[in-house]
Amino acid sequence: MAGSGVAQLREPSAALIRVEDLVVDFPLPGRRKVHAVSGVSFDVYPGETLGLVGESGCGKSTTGRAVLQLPRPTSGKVIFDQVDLTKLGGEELRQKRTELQVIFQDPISSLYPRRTVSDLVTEPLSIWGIGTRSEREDRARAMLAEVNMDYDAVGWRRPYEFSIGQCQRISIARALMLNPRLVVCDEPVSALDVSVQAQIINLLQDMKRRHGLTLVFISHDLSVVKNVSDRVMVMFLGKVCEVASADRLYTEPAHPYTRALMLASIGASKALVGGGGVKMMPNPETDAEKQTEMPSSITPPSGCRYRTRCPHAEKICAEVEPVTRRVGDDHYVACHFPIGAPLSEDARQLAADGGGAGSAAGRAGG
Amino acid sequence: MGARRRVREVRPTDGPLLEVEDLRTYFETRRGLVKAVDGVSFELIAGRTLAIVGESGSGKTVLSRSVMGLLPQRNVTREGRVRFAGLDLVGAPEHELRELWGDQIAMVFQDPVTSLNPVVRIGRQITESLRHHVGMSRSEARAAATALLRSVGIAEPEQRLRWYPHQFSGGMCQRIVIASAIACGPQLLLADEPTTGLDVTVAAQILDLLQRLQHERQMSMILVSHDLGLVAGRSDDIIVMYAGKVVEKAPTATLLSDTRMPYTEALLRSAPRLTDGSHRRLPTIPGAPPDPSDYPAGCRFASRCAYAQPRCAEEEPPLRPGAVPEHTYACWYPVGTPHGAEALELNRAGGAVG
Ligand SMILES: Nc1ncnc2c1ncn2[C@@H]1O[C@H](COP(=O)(O)OP(=O)(O)OP(=O)(O)O)[C@@H](O)[C@H]1O
Ligand SMILES: Nc1ncnc2c1ncn2[C@@H]1O[C@H](COP(=O)(O)OP(=O)(O)OP(=O)(O)O)[C@@H](O)[C@H]1O
Ligand code: SF4
Ligand code: SF4
Ligand SMILES: [Mg+2]
Ligand SMILES: [Mg+2]
Repeated sequence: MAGSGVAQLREPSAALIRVEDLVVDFPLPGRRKVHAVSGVSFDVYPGETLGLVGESGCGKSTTGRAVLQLPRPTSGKVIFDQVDLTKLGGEELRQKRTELQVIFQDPISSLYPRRTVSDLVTEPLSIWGIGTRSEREDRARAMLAEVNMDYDAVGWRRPYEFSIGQCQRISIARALMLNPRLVVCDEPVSALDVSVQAQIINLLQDMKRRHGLTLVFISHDLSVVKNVSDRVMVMFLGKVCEVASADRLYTEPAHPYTRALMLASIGASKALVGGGGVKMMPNPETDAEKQTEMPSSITPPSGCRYRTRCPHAEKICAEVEPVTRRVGDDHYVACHFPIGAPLSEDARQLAADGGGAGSAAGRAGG
Repeated sequence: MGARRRVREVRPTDGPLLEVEDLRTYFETRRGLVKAVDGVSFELIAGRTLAIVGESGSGKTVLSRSVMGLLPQRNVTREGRVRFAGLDLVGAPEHELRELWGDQIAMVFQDPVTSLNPVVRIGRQITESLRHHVGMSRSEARAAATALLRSVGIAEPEQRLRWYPHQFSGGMCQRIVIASAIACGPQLLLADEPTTGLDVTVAAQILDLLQRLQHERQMSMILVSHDLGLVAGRSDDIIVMYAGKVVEKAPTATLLSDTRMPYTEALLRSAPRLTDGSHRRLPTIPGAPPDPSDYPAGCRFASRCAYAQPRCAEEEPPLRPGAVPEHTYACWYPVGTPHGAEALELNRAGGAVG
C-alpha cells in the first residue's frame, strides 16, 4: 500500500491518539474514486495540540472525521487510548463519544434548528443523565460565558436567530460540556472576528492547561495554527508533507509546499502588519510555484502529489513517492529534495547512478 | 462569457450605484425587538469595493441581506431607503426583485453549505441562473459553468459538475457558491465572508478573480468580513459596524492610519501574527457586545471601551467628520486626539485599564 510513511510516529503507549496509514476513498460511478486521504499517520500525546493545515480540499476534514469514524475509514488504524476505534461496534463507539468530541466545520448544519440554545448546550449532559436540570443549566451558563455569550439572553433562542459566529461559539460550548479528552476542532474560529477568536483560543489553551485537553486543530489560518499548536502537520492532496514542532516548522520549513504556504501567508499579512521580523525571504527563482491546473484527487499525480506545482520537481518525483523521514529534532518531511536538508535515499541512489538529480546541490538554503 | 441577452438593462445613472439611507432591520422575538441593523447609511460608487467589518453579531449579515431584500418572511421590519441604479428596492414588488437577484445583484452567502441545495447537482445549480437570466442554451451554460469552476480552482470541473454539494469540502462549497454568484456578471456583488474557510493561496486567487471582474465589468462589490487584515488590501472604503450601527467609515488607507474609534483600534490589535511565537496569549476586547434587544443608553461600546468617560454612558455620540470629509466616526474621545489621550490617561490613572 502506498503509505506516506510513519517516521513521525512516536512511542505508541504514550499517545492518546495514534492514526496509522489512514486511507479514505469515496467511490464514484464507473469504478473511479476520490482519493481523499491516502496513507496519513500521526499521533497526539495527552495535553498536546496537533495543528492540521493544508489547502482547501486536501483532506483535513476527512482526516478529522475519520478519527471519529464519521464515516469509517477505508483502511488504517485509529487507536484512541490503546483501543482501535475502527474495530469497535456501534454501541462501544457511542460510549467513547463522551471522551471524543468534534466541532464541525459547518456550524449551522451541525445544530438542530428547532432546539433552543439551552437544549443544545445541555443535551450532551442530559443524554448521559449527568447532573440535575439546574446543575446542567449552571454548567451551560458557565460554558456559554466562556465563549462570550450570555445564557440568560440567548438560552431560549434558536440557531437560525444567530449570526454564523454565534452558532460557531454555541457548537464549541456544546462540544466542551462533557470535558472530553480529545477534541477535533475543524476550523473552529474561521468565522470569528479576531477578538472572539482570541478569546476562544485562550479558552482552549486554558482547558488544555487545566484539564489536560488534547486537540486536533484544523485550520487554514497559519498564524492561528502556530499560536495554538505544539506540533503541526502539513497536508497536500491527501498526503502528509511535513510534521514538525510549531516553532520549527515556521522558521525552517523543509517541504517546498510548506514553504510556499508560509510565503503566501507572510505576503497576505504584510498588507496590515508590515510582516516585520519574519526571516524568510522569497526567492523569485526557486520559490515560484508552477502555474498549472489544480491536481485532482480523482486522478492524483504519480509519485509526489505536489510535483505538478513544485518548483524543485525532478524526474524521480514522478516515479518514486517520497515517504516521511526525520530531518531534524522533531522534524519530519516527505520530499526527495527538501530545503536545507539532505536528499532522500532514493534521490541519492539515483544521483549516484547518474540519473539526473545532479542539480540538487544548489538547492539548499532558503 | 457568451452573448448577453439580458432581460433588462440597468439604467446608467450619474450618482452612486447603491444608496442606503437610515436602513433599519428589526426582528420581533419573544424577548423583545432585536435591533440587528439600527440606522445604517452609505453609498457605493460603481466599480468600487466597500468593506463592512465588525465583530461577530454586529449585524453585517443582516445588513447585506436587508440591502438585497432577502430576509426571513416573518417577524421582520425593514425601514429606510435602498436605491440601486435609481431603483427603490425597499418598496419594489417581489417579482421585480427576482429579476434583479442573481442577474444585476448577486450575493455570496456566508454559510456556503446551506446556501447550496443539497439534492441538486451543482452543475444544475450554476447553469440554472445562466439559462434563466442570460438566456444561454444548455451546452453554452455547461461550458460557462465548467470555466467558472476552473476559475475558482476546482480540479476536473467537467466531472464535478455532476456532483452533489456533500461531496465537496467546506472550502470547495464556498468557491462553488462564489462561482454561481458571479455567473451572470452582476453589477453589484455582495460577498458575505467569501473567503473565511479558505487558505491564503486560494483566498488570494478568489479575491484576485473578483478584482479582475471588477475591472472588466465595472462590477461594484460589498465585501463583508470580520477580518480587517484581509480587507485592508482589497477595498477602497471600509465601514466598521458595532451593535447594529456604523461607528467609523473611511477610505481604507485613512481608516488604518488615522483610526479614531476605539473599537476599530481594538479590532486592529487582537489579530494573531505569524511573527509571534506559539502559545502567545492573544489580546482580546474585554466584555461582550450588548444584547441587541436591549441596547444601553449612550455609546454602545462604552462598557468595553478603554477611553470611556461618564458622558459616554449618557449621550450617544453622533457620526461626525474626521480630518478628511469622507472619514466619519462616532466617538466622544477619539483615538489620536488630545481628548482621547486625556480620557485614556484618566482611566489608566483610575486603574480602569491595565
Ligand atoms: N432571524 C433572526 N431573529 C432574531 N435575531 C436575529 C435573526 N437573525 C439575526 N439576528 C441577530 O441579529 C444580530 C446580527 O446578526 P448578523 O448575522 O448580522 O451578525 P454578523 O455581523 O453577520 O455576525 P458574524 O460575523 O458572526 O456572521 C445578532 O445578534 C443575531 O443574533
Ligand atoms: N462524500 C464525499 N464524496 C466524494 N468526495 C468527497 C466526499 N467528502 C469529501 N470528498 C472529497 O474529498 C476531498 C477532501 O475533502 P475535505 O473535506 O477533507 O477537505 P478539507 O481539507 O477539509 O478542505 P476545506 O479546507 O475546503 O474544508 C475533496 O476533494 C472532496 O471533494
Ligand atoms: S518530492 Fe519532488 S515534487 Fe515533491 S515536494 Fe519534493 S521536490 Fe517537490
Ligand atoms: S470613548 Fe466613549 S464614545 Fe468613544 S467609543 Fe469609547 S465609550 Fe464610545
Ligand atoms: Mg474542511
Ligand atoms: Mg455574518
